[in-house]
Amino acid sequence: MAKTVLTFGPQHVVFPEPIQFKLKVEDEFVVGAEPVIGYVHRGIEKAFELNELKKNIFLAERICGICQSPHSTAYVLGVERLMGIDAPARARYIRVIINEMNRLHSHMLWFGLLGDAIGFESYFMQVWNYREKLMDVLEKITGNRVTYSMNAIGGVRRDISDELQKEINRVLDFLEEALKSVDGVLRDYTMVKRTKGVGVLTEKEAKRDGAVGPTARASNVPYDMRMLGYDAYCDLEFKPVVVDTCDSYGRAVVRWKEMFQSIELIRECLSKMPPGDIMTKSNALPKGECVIRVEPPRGELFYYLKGNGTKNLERVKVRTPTFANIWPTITMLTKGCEFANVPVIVLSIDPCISCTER
Amino acid sequence: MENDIVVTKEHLLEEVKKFAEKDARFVIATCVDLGEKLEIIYHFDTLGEKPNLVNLRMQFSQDEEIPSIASIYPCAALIEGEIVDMFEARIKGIPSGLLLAPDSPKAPLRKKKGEKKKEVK
Repeated sequence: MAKTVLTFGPQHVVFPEPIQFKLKVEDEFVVGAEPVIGYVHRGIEKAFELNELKKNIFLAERICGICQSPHSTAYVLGVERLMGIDAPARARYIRVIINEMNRLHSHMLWFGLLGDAIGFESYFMQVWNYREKLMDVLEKITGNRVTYSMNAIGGVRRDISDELQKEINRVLDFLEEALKSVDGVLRDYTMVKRTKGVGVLTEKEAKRDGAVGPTARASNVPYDMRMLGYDAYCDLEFKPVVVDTCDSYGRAVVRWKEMFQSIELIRECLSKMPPGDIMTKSNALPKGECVIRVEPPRGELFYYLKGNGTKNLERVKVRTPTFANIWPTITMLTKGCEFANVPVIVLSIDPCISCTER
Repeated sequence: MENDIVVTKEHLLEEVKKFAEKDARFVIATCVDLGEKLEIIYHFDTLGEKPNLVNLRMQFSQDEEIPSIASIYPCAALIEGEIVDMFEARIKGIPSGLLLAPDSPKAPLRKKKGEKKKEVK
């Protein structure tokens, strides 16, 4: 049978953003794949060098539309390390709360998209409806629904009042109940049939190809940057969620469990959060180089910063989670998967293309 | 930085193979323009009880061709493609055009003389 090359993307219903896979198919089966990126490169690493320090926080947040808060967290952590300052304890807890709420809404968004991709539209609408409650409370805390701009060099911009803490707890209680009421989706016949055994990535392949986030953790690799204990994670009870099914279903299970873990982490933060300042002021300028790694919803986010003692940074390198997950996706696709399963496999890594290309 | 290992281009593949034998993860490579020379820092994670980053540093002059580590870590082909585009580094077997279009500015991340930076007032 002669091999045919089919192009998947750059415009496809499962992709909100443009990326192309050139798929070599034999009959209905994929036997080769090549990624084509570069449709939305924005030169953000260059812009980091030209802008001054404070403006770069907003730039970092605009790398990704969904996990913007971890981006600015990584950036400010890096600058703080180069300046030799530490954020106050309360600010570090607030950062964790915002980052975990971000993870919660991102995973809910992903479950909605998964439902939509396999034709389960009522589920998609229900999960996104629950997500709205979280977006509303995020707006009350930060002033913005999507791009929070909460982080600042040396701390955070806004405090969380007692009243708001009560409201967060109320929303968390609601979400816990609401999510439990729709957990049947993981046992749903169609959902299981479409995801179980689809897009297999073994533990060895996950390590060799550098998979990150839920993609790695569903392949039994306990690789989670929160284990490094940045911000307030060092004071919290945290153990990464790991499953060993190595398939798309496992990735859904990891995300499902992580949503409840996030709810617990936010509650723990709210109960342990000490009173005090939310900002350390400093006039120091960043000098030297450092690497910061944090854990957004999609996996490890890598920032390399090099300062030269001026108000501009010498070099900033950003490696986003999807960039690391492209190669594992190629491995999953080229194992002879059915062409009809390609959307589910690609979606299972939760791709974010604009941040991949920066 | 912590855990730095300095390497020359002749011994690069040898060192990278040692990481592959230990089942280390390839995290990413960062290229930095040092003026006279370029430097690539290969970041690996040795995956102990906690994530542990080890950096392999290699300096080379801009007209030298350096080996690609994609034969050991296939996933490195993507970032090496990016370095070829952004710095016009010459990496064996890695083509340009991954992120940049043919009419894009050449080697945008190389330091240029007289480039204006936005200072705080």
